[in-house]
Amino acid sequence: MKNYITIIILTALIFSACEGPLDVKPYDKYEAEFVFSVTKKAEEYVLNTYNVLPYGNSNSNGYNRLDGGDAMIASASDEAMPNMSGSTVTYLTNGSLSSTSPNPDNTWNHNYQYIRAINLGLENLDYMPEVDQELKEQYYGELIFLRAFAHFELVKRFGGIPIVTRPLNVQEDLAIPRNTFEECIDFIVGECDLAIQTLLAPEEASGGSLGRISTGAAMALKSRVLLYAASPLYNGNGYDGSGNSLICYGSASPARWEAAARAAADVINLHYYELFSGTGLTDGHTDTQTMSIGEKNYRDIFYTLAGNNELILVRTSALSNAVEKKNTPVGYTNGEGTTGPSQQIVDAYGMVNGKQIGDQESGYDPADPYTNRDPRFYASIFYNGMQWSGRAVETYIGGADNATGATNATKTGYYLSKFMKSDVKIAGSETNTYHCFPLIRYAEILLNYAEAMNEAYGPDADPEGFGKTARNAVEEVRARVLRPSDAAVTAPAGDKDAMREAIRKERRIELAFEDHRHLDVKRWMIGPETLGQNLQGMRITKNGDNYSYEVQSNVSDRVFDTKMYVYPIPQNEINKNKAMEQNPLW
Amino acid sequence: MKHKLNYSNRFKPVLYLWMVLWIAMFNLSPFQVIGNSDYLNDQNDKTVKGRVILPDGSPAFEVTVMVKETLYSALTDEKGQFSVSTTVQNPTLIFSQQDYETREITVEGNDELLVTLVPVKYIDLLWTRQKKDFVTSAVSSISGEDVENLPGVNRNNVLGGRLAGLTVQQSNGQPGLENSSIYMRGLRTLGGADRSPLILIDGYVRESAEYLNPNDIESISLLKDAAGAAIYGLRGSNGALLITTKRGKVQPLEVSLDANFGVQTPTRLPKYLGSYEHALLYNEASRNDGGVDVYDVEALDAFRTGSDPYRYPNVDWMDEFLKDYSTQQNYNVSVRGGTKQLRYFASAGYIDNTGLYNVDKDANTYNTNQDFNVYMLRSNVDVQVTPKLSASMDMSGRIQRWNYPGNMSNPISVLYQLPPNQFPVFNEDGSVAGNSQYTNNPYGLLNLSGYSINTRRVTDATFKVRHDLDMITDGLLFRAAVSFDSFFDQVVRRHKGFVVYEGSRENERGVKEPASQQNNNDIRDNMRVFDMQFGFDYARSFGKHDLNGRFFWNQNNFSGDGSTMPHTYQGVMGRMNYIYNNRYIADVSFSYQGSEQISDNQQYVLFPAVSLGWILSEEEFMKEGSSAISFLKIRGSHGLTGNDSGISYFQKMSFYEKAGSYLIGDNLRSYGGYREGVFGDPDITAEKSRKTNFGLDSRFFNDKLSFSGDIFFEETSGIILGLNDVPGILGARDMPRTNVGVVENKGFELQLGYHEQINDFSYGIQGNLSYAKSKVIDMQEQEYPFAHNYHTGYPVDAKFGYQSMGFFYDETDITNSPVQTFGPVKPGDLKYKDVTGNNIIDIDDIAYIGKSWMPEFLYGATLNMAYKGFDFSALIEGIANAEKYIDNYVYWEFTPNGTGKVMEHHLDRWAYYPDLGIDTRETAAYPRLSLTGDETNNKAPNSDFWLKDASYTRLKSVELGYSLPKKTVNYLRLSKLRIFATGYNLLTFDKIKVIDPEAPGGGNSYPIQRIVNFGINAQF
Repeated sequence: MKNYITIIILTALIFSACEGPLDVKPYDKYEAEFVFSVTKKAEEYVLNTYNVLPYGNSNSNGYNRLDGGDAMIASASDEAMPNMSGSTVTYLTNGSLSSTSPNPDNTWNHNYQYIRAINLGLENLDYMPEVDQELKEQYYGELIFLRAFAHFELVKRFGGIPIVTRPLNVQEDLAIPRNTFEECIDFIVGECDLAIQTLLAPEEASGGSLGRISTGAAMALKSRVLLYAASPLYNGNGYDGSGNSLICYGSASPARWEAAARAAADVINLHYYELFSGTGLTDGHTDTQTMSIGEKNYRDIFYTLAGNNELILVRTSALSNAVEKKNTPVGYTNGEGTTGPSQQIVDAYGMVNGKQIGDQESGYDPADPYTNRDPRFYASIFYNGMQWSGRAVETYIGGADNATGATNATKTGYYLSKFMKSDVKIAGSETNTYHCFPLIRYAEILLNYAEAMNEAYGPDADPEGFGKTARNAVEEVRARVLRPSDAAVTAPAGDKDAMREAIRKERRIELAFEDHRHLDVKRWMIGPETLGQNLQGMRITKNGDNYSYEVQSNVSDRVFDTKMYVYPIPQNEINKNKAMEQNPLW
Repeated sequence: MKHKLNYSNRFKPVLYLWMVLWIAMFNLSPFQVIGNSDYLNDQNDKTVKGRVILPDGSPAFEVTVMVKETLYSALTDEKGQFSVSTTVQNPTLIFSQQDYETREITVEGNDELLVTLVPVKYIDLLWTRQKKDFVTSAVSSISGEDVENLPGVNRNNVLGGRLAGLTVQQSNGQPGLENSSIYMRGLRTLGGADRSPLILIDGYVRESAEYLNPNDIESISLLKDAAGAAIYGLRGSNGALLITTKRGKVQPLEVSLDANFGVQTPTRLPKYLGSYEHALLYNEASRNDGGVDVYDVEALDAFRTGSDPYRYPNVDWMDEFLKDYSTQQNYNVSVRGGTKQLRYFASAGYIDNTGLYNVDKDANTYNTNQDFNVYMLRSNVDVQVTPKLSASMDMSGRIQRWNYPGNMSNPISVLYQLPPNQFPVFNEDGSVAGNSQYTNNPYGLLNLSGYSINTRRVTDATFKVRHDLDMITDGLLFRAAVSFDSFFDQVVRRHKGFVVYEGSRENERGVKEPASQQNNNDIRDNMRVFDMQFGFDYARSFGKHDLNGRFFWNQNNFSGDGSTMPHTYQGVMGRMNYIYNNRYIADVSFSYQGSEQISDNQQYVLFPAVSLGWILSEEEFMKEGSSAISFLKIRGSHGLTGNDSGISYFQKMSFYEKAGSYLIGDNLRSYGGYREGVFGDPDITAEKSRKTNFGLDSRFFNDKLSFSGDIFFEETSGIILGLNDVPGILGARDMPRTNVGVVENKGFELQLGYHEQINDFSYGIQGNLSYAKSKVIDMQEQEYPFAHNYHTGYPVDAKFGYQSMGFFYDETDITNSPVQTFGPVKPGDLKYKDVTGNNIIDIDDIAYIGKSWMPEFLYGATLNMAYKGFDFSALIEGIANAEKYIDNYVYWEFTPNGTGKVMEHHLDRWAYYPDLGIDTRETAAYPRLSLTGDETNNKAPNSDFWLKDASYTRLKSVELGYSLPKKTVNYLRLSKLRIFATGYNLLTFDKIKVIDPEAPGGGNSYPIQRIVNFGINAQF
């Protein structure tokens, strides 16, 4: 009997000895203490939150590309249209946008996901025993800058949104109302001011630290935010005239332009940033072998990483030819030609002599429209006859890049060439290049400054002694690509309205396709005459060796309603959050 | 590494103890020999002699013959003969053996006895088996013979219609990937949890059970209720399909040879239009979108007349690159036999299934077709080591090999999408044709892009021992089993790009990659499963009381290098069955199982089940009542089962993961990122199904007519779903998921059978009908503005979308109708119903439009007939009350985005071009054609227009066989020789028409096959 008891005891032992296998930990997952207690991991945590900065959907495409990396937000403005059929970007232009429709530019979840990551990072800063105080402060500055940036990305699309400054909990009451527009602006500006105290200086955020957020970036963001806040869309009674505090201040104040001017002047007076000119020359009209100096200066901004002091806030991309593939006209092997720039943007480029094409003295010839244009035209647009990769671009009807029935064939007569390096190969033995996509560059600051100064003090006054007038700032931008004598702005002295037009035109072409235009025209409240106009294109026919040009008045239907000055809050968010209020008229 | 696991160290003490235990056991057990004539020999007055046979006349070996009065016993020999001596006058003899019904015979006189024993009908349950008449849970069961000769590699495909309550859906016909999805009693869960029953081979979940050798299968049972599956704990909710393989028998060696060969053809292929109609419709679609004609009159003329096949080709790619038929063959040899000491079954099989592609045999020295073959081995051996100790060693192994063209490419999708008018197969100069838009010439894909081979090697092994513990108490057994599975899946690629030329060699287009060969291989999966069981069995009868039970501990450990994460289950399980007087049955089972993935707060979960049965026909009042009723039993079960597959890897923890790198510096240094992972739920546990089942089993007129019925009710709660009501401002990367959903599922099953023998002619007919319908009680929907938006209250996967109301007639019609918000609307587009009545059609108008794809009704009818040497059987199978979308690649025009083809049904499109004499406004059955992409196309949203009734009735299988007469067979020194022909998917009646009714409604998968097969079976 004793033996049997032994068996039972042994059996029981086996059962109990096997308790262990369920007390295991996962292989590839870490707890917060583990991540934040190691300097390298803490740094990597902070660097992941940098991914909140806008970027192409698929890596290396650059800018806020939509539709899985093919359509640019530029195609939702009067700059361009998508060449792909079925692109969802058309929801933004054909009037079918609603709170329940797809909105390809809906960055709601993206930004709130990173706001959460940033808030967790801030909460865990104390966990970083190994990290020295100075680094901790730098991380703190970076995190709160990125949080402010993310909030502004939402504000400029939706108006006032809930400000979230701590990691929320699933269990808590998440019925959180929107903050007013003013509260949002104050919060973002306040955070920029805080960040400026601990961030790296601009010169420290270059070279091996290029891409890191500097005090310059925080000051530049402040400049942009205050410029937006001073603009007609917000600085008054709102687009619906109601004065609803979610979408505007409720009353106009000229002091907001003054604040915007001061913020831009602060960046300028760091005297660190400058307009980049790869050739080192500024006499823009002189031809080099393949392109003019002006054109080269301008093209080089987007793939020069070292010594490029124009970059204030930048996202870089690894060696790639994705941008080139996406944009090369379709007749080239592997060219996807996804974006078709409009006749409107083409017409906005002036002549190399600095005059607008409508000007009698400009020398513009509608029968030969692409000769002697502003160098930035050549650095931004593929046009019929342009030399590229061993042959002339053929966008005439039936040409290699506009063949009948070809996928993504242009409907406007143009393709986009900005951001592309000309010697990158996309077929055969492919070659790649670095790219950098400036999220804020110095030219924008100069134009922000010009706009704010002109609105606050007129074109030629500098009462605060910032060192430049509005006119000086615009001319500085133009002088990179034009001869100094041609860079002069023709607006009469003291004529604020004429100067406003000049500044807007300059901004339109200098910052074309850099995600500015669709928001600029909204904040200027000129939606009907810009976003509401059908997109124009150029129909080019070849007769023997000659071409004839005929402007097409409508290659893409456009609809603009007053409510489209802001996006609707996604209906899901309203359904899930009782305190969430929809934007007026939506 | 802090968290490194070392299982071998953990197991060491266990293994050590196990060995100690065994050594102890051997020393403890006094060898006892069960009573036989040598032992209990005393003065015998009388010797009773006789022979025991089976119904077919063959001898029954090793049957215990016991004199009831003296407990003296003997065994039958190889010829079935026995002799017992007794002093008792008119002794009562008890003939018993586990495979046969026990018989008692009182001997009068001195004649030699001839006793016939009837085989017991057992039903396999999980880790045990039970006599069919005493089963109290809901089980359907078939014998392996029913399906062993049916063609097709995948055994799951032939089960549809045979087992009540089992849905089988074959969605692919590709050789070696003829996977069917199988479901038991419909659907009971939502989200990502498994919906299919476990497939167990001899009690173990094994990788890809569908590739089992058809000739190895002894029986298949489907466990449907809690009484059957609760014992499987965390994985029992969807039921279990138990496959039992053949084992050795006490009989002389029996060798069986099988060979069969079949031809297969697709059941249905889409019917595409030729170049002329393609171009006509392309022009029309282009005009419809506001564009111009792409093909001019000259081109149309050339397409129509075929005058210039190089510049204006008309290629039927399907016809060009699909053969008329492909072949499959299957060879098998098995041996079976044994003595009381050693019983064995072993088999070796080979199946070969060839692809349908028309490959250019001269182009390569290697094969580029989509072929499949598998080699299979199995050996099941049972050994009686000592009178008290028995052991089994089961091993099986397989090598499966899939061959593919190129980089595992799928040429079928190209054949489905490449327009007929783009280019010929070859240019005039013999070069492979192509153009910049369509670079995938199928000829190049099939012949010029190299090949890939996917090899899978599977080895399963189980070692079991049983030891009598009757020194403790009679009927007690100790048992232990160790099982080890290994699974290795590898792909070797030898592929290269090919160049196509537009028009001639001068014009090179679409170089996809350098044409040099890429050689690489990757190991896709390398998995191991280790399973251990220890426990006790108990079986004993006390007069009218029969008790048997099993209690054991189990640990199942899965590890692998592939995408499936490691997983361990551990727990205790048990079952106790009590039968009183062969009338009243009570059965209690449970499992108390845990896994490392379940909440730390309660890591082990209890799943109990109880079932009761009452055999009314054993009652005196029934026996006296009607002789028509030969058997009648009512039964019921209730219990809890679990499903833990919805739990994501370590979901109980919140954690950080390495993800989201970022580039810094003008040298672009990449920094790896860290970020918060999926939100954890510390209380996460398995979903639980509470299941109730009532059933009745009956037989009438001497068992000729049989009827069974079941009704069931299930409620599954704690289904793991994302919290849809959490707003985006929370900032969760993925929706936090937790145990929240509730689904109800109800239904019934009826089975009716009749068999009759009239002289040499016998026939039988069995029919079954199943019904199951689920209902979502809670799926955490966000608050919708309208009641009709909610899915709650409808079956799982019920269809929601827009209700179509025909086509827009003209611009006025559009103006006067509610505004549709899915891209531009033109006459001929689908007009949707404004459910909300707010004059705009948007997602608020989404409402219930149709049934789930899961059929509510399943039915099957089998007919068997035999006359002398001939036998015939046929299965008709079908489903009803199911709907699915037929759209996208298989139904839409020019898909995707203006590429692709057009089919016959597009000729019935809406079109209005009075100048061309086209006006189908009144007769159209399809919207206007368009080249625009899907997302902004008015036809793209889910609507009932694309929803089709998925019901079908199929003549699923037919088998006609002829067994040669015994005389002839014996002359050939064989014991059996049968030739047969079988057919699979021979006839189909359905409403879908364009594709096979079982095929997926939107994709472009390899066509499902109809198979006609011839075979021979020989035994000696």
